[in-house]
Amino acid sequence: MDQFERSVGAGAVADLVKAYGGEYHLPVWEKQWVDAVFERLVQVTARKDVLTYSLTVLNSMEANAFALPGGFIFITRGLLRELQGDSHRLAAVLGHELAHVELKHGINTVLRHLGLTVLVEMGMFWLDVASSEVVRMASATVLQLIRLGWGRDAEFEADLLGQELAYAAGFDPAGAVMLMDYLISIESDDHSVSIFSTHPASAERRSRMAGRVGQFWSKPVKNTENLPMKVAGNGRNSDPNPRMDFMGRFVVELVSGANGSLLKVYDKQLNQELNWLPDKNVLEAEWSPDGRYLAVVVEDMGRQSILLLDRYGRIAHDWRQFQGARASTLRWDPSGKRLAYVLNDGGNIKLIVGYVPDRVDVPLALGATITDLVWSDDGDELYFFDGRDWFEIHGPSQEPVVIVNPVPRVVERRSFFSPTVERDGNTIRLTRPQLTIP
Amino acid sequence: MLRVCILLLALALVLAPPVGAREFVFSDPNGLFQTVIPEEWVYQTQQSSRSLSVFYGPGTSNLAYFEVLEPVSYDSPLEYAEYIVSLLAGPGGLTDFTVEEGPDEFKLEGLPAVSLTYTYQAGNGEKQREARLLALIGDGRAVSITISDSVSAFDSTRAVLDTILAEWRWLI
Repeated sequence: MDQFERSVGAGAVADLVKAYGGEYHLPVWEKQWVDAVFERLVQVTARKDVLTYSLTVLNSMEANAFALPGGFIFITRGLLRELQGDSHRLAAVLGHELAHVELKHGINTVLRHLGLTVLVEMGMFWLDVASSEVVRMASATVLQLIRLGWGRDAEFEADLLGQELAYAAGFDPAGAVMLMDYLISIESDDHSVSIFSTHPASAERRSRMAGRVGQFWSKPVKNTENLPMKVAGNGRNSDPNPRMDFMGRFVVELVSGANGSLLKVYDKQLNQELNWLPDKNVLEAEWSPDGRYLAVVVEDMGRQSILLLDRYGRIAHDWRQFQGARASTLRWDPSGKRLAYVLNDGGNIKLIVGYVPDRVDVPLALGATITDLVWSDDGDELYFFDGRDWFEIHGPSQEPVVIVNPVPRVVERRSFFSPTVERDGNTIRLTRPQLTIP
Repeated sequence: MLRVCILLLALALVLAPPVGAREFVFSDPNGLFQTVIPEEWVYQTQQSSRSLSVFYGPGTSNLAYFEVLEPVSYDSPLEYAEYIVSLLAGPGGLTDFTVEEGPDEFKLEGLPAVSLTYTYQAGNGEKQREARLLALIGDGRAVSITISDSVSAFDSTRAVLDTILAEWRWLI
């Protein structure tokens, strides 16, 4: 059966590649990265010993990915461009496509379509020696069906297994949700983004995957080793001046005002006091470890929001909004990509980890009281204090992508007077390369 | 005539080697090596990282850069260089990539290394020549040293490589 499946997929490869502009040869450095992510995912598949998985990049700017029966995986250069070098999102795409093969969606759909299901039930042997005419017919059918996808249920199944493969390979299972959010956001504007034309019910798929991210975290267990206090004592949580940003320029302070508390910022570089969010009642403020964002909880007419300000005090993201709920205890993880907070929703206390700047929220624990939060130095554990004991929750461990035998970079001079565009949230700055000697 | 004189003077100023050029010591951010760089070569903050240090020379297309590479599974720098050459010459590699010299084995301050010189078509359409040295330093790490310039100006820039290698010190 595996041989038959492989033959059917192999018979469709050439036509599929041709239909999508031929094979695209990535720059060797990017290829090494893509191959490293793909290989890590293949290593956690169940069928790696019976199939030879391969990855081909298609020369099409349409954002799409495919899996042919037998382990032939395809991704377009258009989709790779949209991934912007994010390994977790790439793992989400490739994990989804590998899952189609793992679950035999392609070959089963083809056999059903050709009315050959009964032959499968007769045994594998017959199909392994199937005539070349049957294989040719099946390959042609694959090409017709692949544009329609393997069916709604198959897409849901591949989403879930793809997420598990990504997790098992050391990637963030939330990558799939962030990827889907991003692609949905650009899909309406850009018709070349057609990955969901073959993937129906994207909102429902997004919802299902987002709902599962919390399952990749452990249940809270009581920490009896006083580890959180040690972490707090060693790490940035023990910073004598936690309200100062990483680069030591801005010090923030909350002071009482007529309409609540005001955010006061002291700029040590310019030696002046700044008044960010002058008309807002600011309840909390916490700098991200990299100094990129200042997260603040603001309240206005009973409605709370968590805003992410850039280093110039401008609102980069109106990140979360709560009606009738109160957010508190903001804590950035060491990477600055996740922000943990406590949400009191009418007496229900929830511990939530949100991805920045994405819309993905992972509810991790419910409790009567949560008064403090601490991240471990590697960001793999989150500790919370319920007023009496510390508890710990283990998150999905994320392994960096290691490229064995990297090709040295070939660097070219940039035009000396060309400004560099830097995007930071909603802020775009033009800068020049610095000409300083270390 | 005056314009020609001014042009020649400007060219002479640009092309002439600096008189009494001084150098500054450059220590790798990873603490693996130390060398000297001519003073007029400028460190590029935006193109550099912990593993890559880039310097622009006083010309218009010359640069020097140092990269720490890991993990490297090769025991021989020659085999590693041949692997790299095969990728740079293949699909997705450098346009019009041509090896002119090497790879030749040598010792860089006692550690096994190779040198090679190649040309390729740069992003601006000009032909660029690079002299690249690769040294294996143990623990699955390698260091790459590169001097790069347009083909026409490369010979004068190559002298910088001699300066760099003359003062090269491993810190491991």
